[in-house]
Amino acid sequence: MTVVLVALALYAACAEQELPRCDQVPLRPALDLLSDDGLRRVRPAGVGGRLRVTDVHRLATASPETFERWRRAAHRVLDANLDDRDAMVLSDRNRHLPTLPDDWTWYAEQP
Amino acid sequence: MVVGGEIVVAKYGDLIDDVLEEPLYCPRCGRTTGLTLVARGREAHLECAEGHEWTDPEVAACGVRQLLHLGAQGAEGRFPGAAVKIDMLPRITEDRTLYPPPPDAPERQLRWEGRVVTTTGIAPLTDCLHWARRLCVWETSTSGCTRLRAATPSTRT
Repeated sequence: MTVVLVALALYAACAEQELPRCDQVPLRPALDLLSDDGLRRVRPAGVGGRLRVTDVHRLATASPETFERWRRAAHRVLDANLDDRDAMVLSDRNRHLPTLPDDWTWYAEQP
Repeated sequence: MVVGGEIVVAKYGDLIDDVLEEPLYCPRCGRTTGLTLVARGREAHLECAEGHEWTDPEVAACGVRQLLHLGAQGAEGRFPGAAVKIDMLPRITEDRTLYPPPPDAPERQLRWEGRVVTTTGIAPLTDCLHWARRLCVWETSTSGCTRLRAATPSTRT
């Protein structure tokens, strides 16, 4: 769920600013969205991609303690990637991050 | 973790202006085998059998964790150095059916999603999920905090 919450934070920060490209999203606002449980209710609208049924169920039914654990882990991931640079944009991280196959075997084939 | 053989790393040699493969050795006794790699948070150091401790720029905590991960999987990997090369997040075997889009999504959010798809050719959440996995894979081996959480049975990554 850590990955899902990080993704929702990036998505919501991008949507708030209506950015045309997700790799231009600054990490600081995404990190701020992880300070409460608001992301529990964020869902893509239609053409914006889909969450798995299992993840939607977990987001809707997890106890506050469980959600809090996911939220903290996601916060830690974004905080580490922010690297104390408040102006950090997602694409700035590209050269630090490992290259992973874009095959969705870990999540689900997106339509 | 204790490493059986030599730990070979790639080092830049300024005399020959090229990258050389050489084993790490203890600066005090010259041992190249029986070394112990220690990772704590973002820091890592080496120890030899005599108890000498030292650090090397090629030995970072993320390399130690990745080597440990490879060992746990039974793979004979070479030391990954200071870069994150191995995906340590577990694959999840569960139903991967996608949730249908809500019928009452806000018009404004829909229009923004449409613009992103037109500009980049990829759905924003799909793109964000891929970025999120890369951010998590990096953090997991670099600082090791999330790995501890991921290991508890009730938490999925």
